[in-house]
Amino acid sequence: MLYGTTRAQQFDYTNGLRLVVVEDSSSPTFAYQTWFRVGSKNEEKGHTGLAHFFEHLLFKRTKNTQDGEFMKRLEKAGSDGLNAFTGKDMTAYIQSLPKKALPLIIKLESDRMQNLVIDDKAFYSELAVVKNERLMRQDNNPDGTLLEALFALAYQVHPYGWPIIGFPEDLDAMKPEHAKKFYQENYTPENAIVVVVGDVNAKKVSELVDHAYGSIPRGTHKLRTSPPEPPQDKPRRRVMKVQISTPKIFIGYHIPPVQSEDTVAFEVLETILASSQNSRLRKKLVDTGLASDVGAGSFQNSDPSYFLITAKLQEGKSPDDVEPLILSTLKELREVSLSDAELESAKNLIRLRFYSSLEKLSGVAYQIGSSEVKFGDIKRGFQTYQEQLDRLTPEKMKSVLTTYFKDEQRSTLVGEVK
Amino acid sequence: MKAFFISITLLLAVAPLSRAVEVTFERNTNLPLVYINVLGKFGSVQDPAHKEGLTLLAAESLLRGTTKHTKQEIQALLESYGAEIEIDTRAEMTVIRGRTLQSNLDPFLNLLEELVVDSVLTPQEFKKQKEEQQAKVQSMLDQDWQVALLHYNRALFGTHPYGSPIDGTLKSLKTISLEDVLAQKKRILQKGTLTVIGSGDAKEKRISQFAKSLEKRLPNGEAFAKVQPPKPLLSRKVVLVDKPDRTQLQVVLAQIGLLPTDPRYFAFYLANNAYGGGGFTTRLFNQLRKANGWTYSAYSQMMLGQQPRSWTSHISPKNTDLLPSLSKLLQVHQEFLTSGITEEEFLFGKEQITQKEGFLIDTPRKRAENAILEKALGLSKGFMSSYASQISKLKLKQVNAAARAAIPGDGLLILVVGTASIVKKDLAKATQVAEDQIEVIPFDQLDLP
Repeated sequence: MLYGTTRAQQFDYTNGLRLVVVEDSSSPTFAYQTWFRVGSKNEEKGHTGLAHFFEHLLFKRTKNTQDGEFMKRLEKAGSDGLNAFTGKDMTAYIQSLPKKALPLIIKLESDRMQNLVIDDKAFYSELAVVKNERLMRQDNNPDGTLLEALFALAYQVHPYGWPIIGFPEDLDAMKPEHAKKFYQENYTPENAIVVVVGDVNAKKVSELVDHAYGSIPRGTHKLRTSPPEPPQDKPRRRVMKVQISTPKIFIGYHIPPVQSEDTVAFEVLETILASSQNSRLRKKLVDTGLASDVGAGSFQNSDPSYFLITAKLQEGKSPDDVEPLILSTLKELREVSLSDAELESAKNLIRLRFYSSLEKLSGVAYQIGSSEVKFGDIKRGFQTYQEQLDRLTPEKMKSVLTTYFKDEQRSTLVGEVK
Repeated sequence: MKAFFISITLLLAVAPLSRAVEVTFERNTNLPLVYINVLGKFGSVQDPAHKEGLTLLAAESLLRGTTKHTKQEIQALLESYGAEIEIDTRAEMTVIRGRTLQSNLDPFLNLLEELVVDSVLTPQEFKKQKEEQQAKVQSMLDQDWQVALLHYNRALFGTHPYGSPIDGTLKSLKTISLEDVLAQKKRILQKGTLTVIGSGDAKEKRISQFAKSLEKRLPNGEAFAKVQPPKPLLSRKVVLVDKPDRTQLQVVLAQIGLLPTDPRYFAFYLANNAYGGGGFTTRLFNQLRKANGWTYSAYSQMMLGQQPRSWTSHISPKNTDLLPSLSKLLQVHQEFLTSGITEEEFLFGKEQITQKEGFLIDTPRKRAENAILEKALGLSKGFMSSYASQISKLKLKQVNAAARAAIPGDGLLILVVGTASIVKKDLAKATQVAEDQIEVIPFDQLDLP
């Protein structure tokens, strides 16, 4: 059972592929998502950007389809939200379709898992598109520029330090053979989870999936593991000038991997610090006119992860006005327990946002896919998560803050007006 | 522009509004949530000239205090309920979007009613609100695509209200006083301007009670004058929005578009689907992105309004690709408006849109959003879910007639956000407009003279 009366059925195949199906006939459509446990952390130094590049290449030619045919056939079948996205630990390929298109999508998705053809022409024209995307997301976007710099400061060994889209010099040096090797090593059934949610019959889906994917051989290559990030022993700080209207400050801390039982506490902390309108930093910084906006978030990565606090300053205000207030807010939270009321409000807001995320079939599929990638267990993203949230106490929050929010684990990046 | 608004005020006195707050609610018990939207049929088009941002400030002030609660107390109450409220102001509508855990629906609705009918704005809170809004406008200018959006509306519509930045400008926000905001709030919050639309785990009777209670406590008012149709450009206009240190450009072609009630609307929609509106198989995608790798974004879109708004095409090449990519974009655009689409594209688009029908109405929330748009734009009930049935009836001849003739005027706005000293020469070459005929505007200059 996932929530309410909604239940998921799981099928594991001999080649390692996992299928999760949720039957829901609330609309004559279904969401189909393929999640790979492959992200930018599985790349090698000097070859950054490959995982993201597959977000583009997997829409190209296969042994059985022409370049562009994948998208054309799905669009003609009435696809909605046809897309893909890449993270540090995963890549997902998503679409929703009218119910009668189930055999089509199973055929096309199973085909590109095993038969992708990477030819030079398509490779280089798509690489130019990715370079253009990098200009948009990183180089001409101050937030992208600053985040890239912050992760480079915080992670000096682990691949979480490099940008998902890749470094410009690595994109310049990328060759088709690098992509072919990455595809063969990583895009294999034991690294994938197929999630189907909607107006389908689970047994029928499992038969079709078995027929289409069952003969794809298990990979012979283990996913590349990442070198551990050595413990940070002193605070780090960098100031950089960028094309922004007012300064920005990013303060981050190393936190445990998403599998940790403390993960739920970080979500509550996001709410208490910044993501609610009544949060502590909003009151201290926005309501007092020091900052125009604040943010907080945990990245929920599979290797030791990161918690980030951001503030965009008001005109004429200095990072020196704001940084001490962020640090003193964290100190207060370490020293004085939250009230039950503040904790309960934060929990309620998280419950609201969680249920809202399940409104669309694609939202349910997303929660299932991300739970599988993060925990290898759907239940963990649904009931267990809710139970952990229910059980969280002010004392636990205080202990989490004391354990992870130490000065030596902090990296600070200040973006100044160029 | 000022004269335009004076004439509206005179007109309003003779047009009383309906006295009912309408309700549309769909019960759905799948999740323990309730969504309540209070739609106001007003937006930035109600901003007087040089006071851009006024309606947004007036609407957003509802969250900044009531006769019973301060802003902080309101937010604390909402969070304790597991609820959120945000204000979404657009050109011709403002939506108070609320959502709550079902278990706290009653206190949530009581608070929402209090915000709509008992809000107050103190001078201290107004000062904060203005500072926050000014900072938001500054932040928007940090994002190149936002700069492009703000400037193409201004350049295309000029002094027409569709050209006004919804969030205001740094200069206009400075001129807005507390009295302006209070007067605008009084003007917009009236019985006939509001509709309640929602979905979720609640009984319609409870939502109707909420609407009736609003109705009882809101004053009667006067209708807003209808916005006049914008005038199309008469000739090609090239605008270069100058922003330092850009290595990538935002390029927009813009023209006045179509009314959704225009008999050619669905035919043009289908034509545009093949040109740039239909996803990853369009002409813009294939010729600008796939074939040449010039741009990540390549799409076209039609904005809908009570009057024709914009029809635009977008690409984002790097500086050195401006000349070939813009030349190609202009060629594809011209071919489309001259020759329309092929039979293959017509059949493909028809199939795509009709097969996609289920997604027009696949969740209660989407059905509520459709109702919001229909009410706000004065469209008939069911308009938003009728695309598939309308498009299935079309013939290629109608579609190409619409592509050739539906877009009014010969004028085309070509707008580029980039660093003028680097790209002006190539822009002149690509557009065949002399360099001294290109209008160069600083990226942070959005005010009317």
